[in-house]
Amino acid sequence: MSNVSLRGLKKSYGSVEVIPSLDLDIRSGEFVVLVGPSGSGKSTLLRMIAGLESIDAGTVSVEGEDVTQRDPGDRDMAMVFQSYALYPHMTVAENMTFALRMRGMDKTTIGERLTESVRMLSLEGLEHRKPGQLSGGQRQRVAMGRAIVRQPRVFLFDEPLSNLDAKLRARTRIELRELHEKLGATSIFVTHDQIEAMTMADRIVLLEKGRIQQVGSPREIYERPRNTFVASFIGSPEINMMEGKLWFDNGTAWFEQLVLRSRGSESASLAGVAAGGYTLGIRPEGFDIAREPLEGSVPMVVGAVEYTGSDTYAFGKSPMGDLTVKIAADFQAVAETLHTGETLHVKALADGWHLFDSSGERVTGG
Amino acid sequence: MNRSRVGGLLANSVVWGYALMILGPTLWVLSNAFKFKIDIITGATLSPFTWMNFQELLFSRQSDFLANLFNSALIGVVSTAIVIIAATMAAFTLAYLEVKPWVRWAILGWALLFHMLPTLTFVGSWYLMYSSIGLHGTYFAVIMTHAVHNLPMALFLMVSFVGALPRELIQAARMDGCTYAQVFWRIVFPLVRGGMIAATALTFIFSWSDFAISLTLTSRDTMTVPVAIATFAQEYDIRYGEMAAGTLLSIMPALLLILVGQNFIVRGLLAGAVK
Amino acid sequence: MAPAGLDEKARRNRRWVVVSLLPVAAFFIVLTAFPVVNLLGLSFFHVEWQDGAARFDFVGMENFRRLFSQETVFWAGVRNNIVFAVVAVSGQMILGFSMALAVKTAGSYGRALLTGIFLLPIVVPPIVIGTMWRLIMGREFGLANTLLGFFGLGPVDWLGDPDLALASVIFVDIWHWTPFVFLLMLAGLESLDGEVLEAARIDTVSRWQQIRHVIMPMMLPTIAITLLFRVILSFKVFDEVYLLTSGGPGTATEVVNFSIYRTFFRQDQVGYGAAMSVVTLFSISLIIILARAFVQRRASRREAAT
Repeated sequence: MSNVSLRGLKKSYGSVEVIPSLDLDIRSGEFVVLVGPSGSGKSTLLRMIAGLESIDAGTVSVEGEDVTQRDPGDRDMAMVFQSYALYPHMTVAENMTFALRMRGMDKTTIGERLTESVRMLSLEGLEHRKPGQLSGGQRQRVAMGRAIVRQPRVFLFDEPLSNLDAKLRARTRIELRELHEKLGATSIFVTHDQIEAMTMADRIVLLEKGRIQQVGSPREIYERPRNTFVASFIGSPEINMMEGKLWFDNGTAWFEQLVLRSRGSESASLAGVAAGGYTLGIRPEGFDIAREPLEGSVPMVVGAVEYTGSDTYAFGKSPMGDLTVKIAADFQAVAETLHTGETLHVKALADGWHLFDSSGERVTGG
Repeated sequence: MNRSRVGGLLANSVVWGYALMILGPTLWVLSNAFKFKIDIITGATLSPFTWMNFQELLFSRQSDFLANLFNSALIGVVSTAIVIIAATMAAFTLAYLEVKPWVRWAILGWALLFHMLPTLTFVGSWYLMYSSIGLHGTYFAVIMTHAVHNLPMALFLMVSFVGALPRELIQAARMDGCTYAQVFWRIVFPLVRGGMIAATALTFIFSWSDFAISLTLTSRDTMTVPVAIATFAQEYDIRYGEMAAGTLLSIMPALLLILVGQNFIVRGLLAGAVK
Repeated sequence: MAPAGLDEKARRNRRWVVVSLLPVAAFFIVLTAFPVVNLLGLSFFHVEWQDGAARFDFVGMENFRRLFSQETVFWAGVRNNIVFAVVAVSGQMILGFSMALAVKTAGSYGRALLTGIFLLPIVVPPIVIGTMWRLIMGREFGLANTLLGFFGLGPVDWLGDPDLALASVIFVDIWHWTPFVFLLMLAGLESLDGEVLEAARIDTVSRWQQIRHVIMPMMLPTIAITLLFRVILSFKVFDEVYLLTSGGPGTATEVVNFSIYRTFFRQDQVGYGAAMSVVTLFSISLIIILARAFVQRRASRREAAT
């Protein structure tokens, strides 16, 4: 249980800058998820923390102790790899105790730790199997076990769930989170999957091109995205982005033909925002839907309807571009009879919108 | 349907015809090992069977063939051991560790170049080098030269086998606290054993088969089997039977290898050729 | 985990990198790089053996002048080597590729046995192959002439007739190396994307169209690399020629390697032999480097295209 802090980390491969310069503080016992599209440098960053990738500049410290120059084996960090990286020639028990044996720990302690981890991960009875004889899920648990027996200061996870099928992944997500509650160890988890990030993280660190776009709790990231990249990356189906003019009329704010409203003092404030060109983001659930035109609504010609079981989404064209709209539960009756080619009228919910300036930075919103 | 069937049979018969072209002459020549000289010369198809050629070859006083077999085996085993150890260690370092790019480039590039250059262009220089320090004709000289000659192929093979290990496995071992040497001995070495066997077999076969180096660097005491066979053929009065017997004995390692390790060799040859 | 221990580990790791590369580097430097330098030096000398010791006389470019103006045998060897490379390698490629296609089409009866037999020429000592074919092609008691005799033909002097000797040697080389090309091609064919081949079967009307428009283009990298590989390695030919013809009759089957061998070891002309070696070494290196550059440029163009 330790805090990790990264100061001015830099990394380039030849002339390609993977990480220009990065600072991040991770609190003790925190579960931090590094998320970003492929090529965003998240895996490289994790490997730099682990000591597996050389660092061009900057420092990594654990509990105030600079470990930048330290061998990966001497940082007291354990890592769970995407491919699990189990040693194929060793049994489960040998795999799990390898690191302890390499450190010359005495046999009784090794035995105790092994028994404890095996029980914690319900791997009983598999101790003497080789990785080749295990199922994907079991292998994943052994990989976790290999990290847990070490009782490290920091856990590093490199997309450890991406090789599991969807069902198992969802279950493992919860198990991993429960395990974290039990062990309380500082964990850094890399994924490209925003659902994993949203469901598991205490804090999300969103990376793009080696730069941190936003750091915050899942709720903060979803509800107050700092820029258009964050807003687009998190959320499924993706947020609707519209470019256009913001104008005011008698105290009512208009974005093209849409009225932008706020609920109260705590919410978005357009006071002091100048009229002009902006980007407006509205999530699919941020619309009010009607059959007839309302004040400040735009018409949308339905192109396709997607029924996912719990939700229904309508996709269509509006004067403001292509829109994805979630059909609210109280509109479900309509959803059932909704046809392609029909026209719906949609307007932005109060505080259901986000306003970004021309450089993509957040101005205000719900 | 019918047409493709006929085509298939035809295609197969071409390939099997070629196989027969390999097998037929080989068996014909080898059969001479069990014939009396008079039957070989008159080309008798059905002739009495004899072990005489082998007796002459191995145990007569004029023949050194037993010593030649011993020399070939000794040179093959020792040079192969050196080559495989050197190549496997270097392969691991070149494949996974941070080595200056020019070092990697120089070693692999030079290995490729040397592998493709005619051996004969080097033989004269080796001969002079060893002669000038009094090592010509010694086991040491032949073993070292066989080793360097087979090193590029072994290096390519081992780089491809070692490089096929998942990089994350090496990283996991580093996280678990291994030094480079420990990663090599505890993780890489046990996992590439199969590849090492393939490379060992091929290296031994090439050392055993080598003619150009052995011809120029061995003395009477260190002469290997191929040189001995060539000597038979160069004599004025060719001893066909003994030559065939020697040939038969000299291809035993190759035959053994095909029987037990066919897949290994195919994989090895392919890995070596594609680089 | 004291800082001293950390340094120790880093030091050990650095030592491993050096130690692991040292044997290979030492072998290459002492036994391959040094000889090249040595040959280069020797090529400027006239070397005379007197009472078991060598006497060196610096002659400048004399050896090279002689090689490029007076030499005939060496250049006959160069010519033969080129003929050899073109004819033998085309033969191997065409035969090897056709047979690989055939096996791929026909399904494989007794595949292991077939592979075993095809491996035979590759792993058997080349000197044995020379011996074998010398016996088969022998004028007096050879199998070839015995067989011809059944039809009342021959005898033909396969290896002694100046017009036939090179063809005979080339035949042996094709026999020797076609199986290798076959196995390489077969592995190449087997690694092609099965779904693409199935799509091709649906889109084409004949087997020939499949081969011409789908299989050939997909196999092109394998074919190109095998071809270059075989061409370059064909300049290594020595063992079989040594045994079959020793370069004769006359210069009919002379090859570069044999010229070098003879000059060095039979005529003791060390300086002159070194000059031959140097010329050969640098010419073939140039071919290899050009071939390599060609393959790499193609590869990078391919990557850029996809």
